Amino acid sequence: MHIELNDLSKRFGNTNALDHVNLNVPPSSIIAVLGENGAGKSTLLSLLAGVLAPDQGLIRFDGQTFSRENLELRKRLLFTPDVPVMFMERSIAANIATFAALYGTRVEDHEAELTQLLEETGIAALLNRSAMSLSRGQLWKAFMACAATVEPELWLVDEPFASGMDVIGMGVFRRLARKLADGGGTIIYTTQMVDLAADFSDHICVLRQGRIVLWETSSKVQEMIRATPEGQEHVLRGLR
Amino acid sequence: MAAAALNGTAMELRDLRLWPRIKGALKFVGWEAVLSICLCMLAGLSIPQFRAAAWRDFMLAGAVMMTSRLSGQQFHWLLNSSPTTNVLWHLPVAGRDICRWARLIYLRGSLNLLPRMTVVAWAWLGFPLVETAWMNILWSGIMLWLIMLACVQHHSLPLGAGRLLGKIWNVTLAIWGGLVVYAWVGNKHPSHGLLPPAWVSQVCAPVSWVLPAQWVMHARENQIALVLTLVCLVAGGLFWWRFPDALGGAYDQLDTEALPAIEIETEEPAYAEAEDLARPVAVPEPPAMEAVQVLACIQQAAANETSLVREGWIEKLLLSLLNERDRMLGPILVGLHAGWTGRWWKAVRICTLLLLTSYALLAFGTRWIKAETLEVWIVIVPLLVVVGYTFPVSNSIPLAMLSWPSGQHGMPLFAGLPISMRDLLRVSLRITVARMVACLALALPVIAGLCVLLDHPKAIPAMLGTAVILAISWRCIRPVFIYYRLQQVSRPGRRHRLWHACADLLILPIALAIPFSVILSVAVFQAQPEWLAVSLPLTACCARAVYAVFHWRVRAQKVDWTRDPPMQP
Repeated sequence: MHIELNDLSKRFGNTNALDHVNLNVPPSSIIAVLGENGAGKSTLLSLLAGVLAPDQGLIRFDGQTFSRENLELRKRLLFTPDVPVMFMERSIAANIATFAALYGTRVEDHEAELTQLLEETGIAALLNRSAMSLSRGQLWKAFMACAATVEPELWLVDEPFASGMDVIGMGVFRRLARKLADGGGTIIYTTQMVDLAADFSDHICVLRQGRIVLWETSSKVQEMIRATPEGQEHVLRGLR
Repeated sequence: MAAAALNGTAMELRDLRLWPRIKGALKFVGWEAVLSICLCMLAGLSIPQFRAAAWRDFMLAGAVMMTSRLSGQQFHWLLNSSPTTNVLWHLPVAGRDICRWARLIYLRGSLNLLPRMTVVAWAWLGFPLVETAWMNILWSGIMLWLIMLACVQHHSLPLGAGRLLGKIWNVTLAIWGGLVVYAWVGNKHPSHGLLPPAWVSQVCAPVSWVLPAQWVMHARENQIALVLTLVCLVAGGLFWWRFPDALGGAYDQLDTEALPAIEIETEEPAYAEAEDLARPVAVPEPPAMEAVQVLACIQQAAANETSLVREGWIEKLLLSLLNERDRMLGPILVGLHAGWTGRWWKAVRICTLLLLTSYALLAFGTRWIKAETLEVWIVIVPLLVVVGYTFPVSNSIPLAMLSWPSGQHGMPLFAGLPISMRDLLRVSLRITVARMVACLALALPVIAGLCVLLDHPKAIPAMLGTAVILAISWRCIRPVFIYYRLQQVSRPGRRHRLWHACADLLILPIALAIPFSVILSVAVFQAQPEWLAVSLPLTACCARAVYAVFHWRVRAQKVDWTRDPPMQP
């Protein structure tokens, strides 16, 4: 999915959460949105998901202006806030079935992949357990099964590397995201860990006080990190 | 522009936050005034013979004291149990500062009670409407408010006097509460001889002097009352002033290191050698699941979800009204256990019992209870049961609005899913229809049964027609409630204009209120039912218009789906 942000702005009171952001996100890519605390990363994701409405500017998906009420566009994206949206009183199996029904996909089409993911994360043994009984990391792992079933064209993930998942879960997330990206999808995730972002992304977007201060390929950012001992801070501040 | 930002003023005219503040203030003052007037009306003060009786003073002084007791509980909650103070007591903050903060928050909030005290003073003075009386009313209101605040600090009285005084006030207020109910019933049925007997007013006169508000209102003509008022105000003021040092100081002086250590006697453990402590054991891997098993598990879970919704005839009726997408959405939004049919059958059992009991009471109970009194309760109780158990009040899709954490703000659950507002409206309306059918299926026989019991069989068609009209009008007005619920979980974006708020809050509800009030008057008084042909569709259109305006704003990206306002820096 090709994503275009035109002059996007969002204010909360007197604070510019996003300030005239322009961005062109190519399809089939993984984008890491970096930034200090309060830089506007989660706000950007919420705008892309339609949870917040921009005060100014447009969001376009494949040339179509995005509005949350446009269900055809909305069904093509999956939004994962810092606590994944799940039906806590239902079992994990029921959640997977529900997400498949909501997004109009079939669980049967993803049988093998789902089984492998569930086995690898250890969630297979917990399929009939209520989502409420899971720990935070387990919830994320269960949600990845839902994401694998949905196969969104745009996956917006807020702080997946601060999700509480163990390295197995992180590895599964990376593989799933890469698979979705290779299939034409776009994954946009937020993080504050520069080295992780450089290691796992195609492009890096750094936000500072609501503005994009850096938009580079991950290889270029890796060079910037290696260039000086304070490379990571420079990247976070958008200094070249 | 930068200078304006530094001053904290809005850089643009369209700062809609002014309107929510005005709206909140108007709403609060309005409700306070209405509540206070209703309180006075309940106490029978709207009719002259009650005002003339000595118990007028007791009623009003009791209202002030009740306000003081409730307000005091709020203050103690603020000091001891509120989330903020729970955090503060655990931080390195001086107890004095915490108490000062609690005092400031409480006193600032207590200004909201000033309108209520003013209305009480107005009632005390006999509801005068001349201009010259307003200063007197205002002054009396302020004095009542100050007395009310002073009474909150009665715990500070020494030697247990505060506790004793609190108990005396509680007993007095219990008597007061009983008399309020007595007065309300008497006000409604003066022909039943429920006016207060003479001994009630004779007892109320001296008892009312236990309540400090009585001292205030008689301070001008009674020197003892004046002295008591001044003592109360001065003591209350002193206690409020010294309260942070008294309570906070005692807290600050606690020396936890001086407390004796708690000694626990134990046997000396037999410590093992270091290498014996860590003994890794092999944890067996759980058996691997086949893909077929995983698929079967998920499909079974999906089937179980839908079967749970088919738990009763109401749920089955609902499913028959839903299209394919809504049959998938309905259970998601309603939740696992709707329980409508269970509650319906419970209401059937209760109403059957009530009707049988009513028959027995009417046949044999009139020698102890007046028939007119019985009739009132015989009608009210079964209808309350029907409404309470079966009437579709809520939007019936609780899960949709469930607050979900999302970064700095919360969001309603449905905002994180591909569910649109139209989906919510459609599902909620269908649920309303199904539940309303169930409600009428019980209400109509109950109403007919009551008419027969009360020997009014000719009234059956009119009563049943009224119930059906009310049910249809409830369905017509439903979009307004859905809009209201959605509006609670959203926030206008900055593209919002003030006139949008005016349209939402004034124009459309007014357009809705007129036809709906016509429906109610036709239903209640059965006068000119031909007006229904116009007012029912008009109500439905206006209600839908209220919803449609909001939906247009959502589509125009003027609304944020967030439950909490963002934190201001």
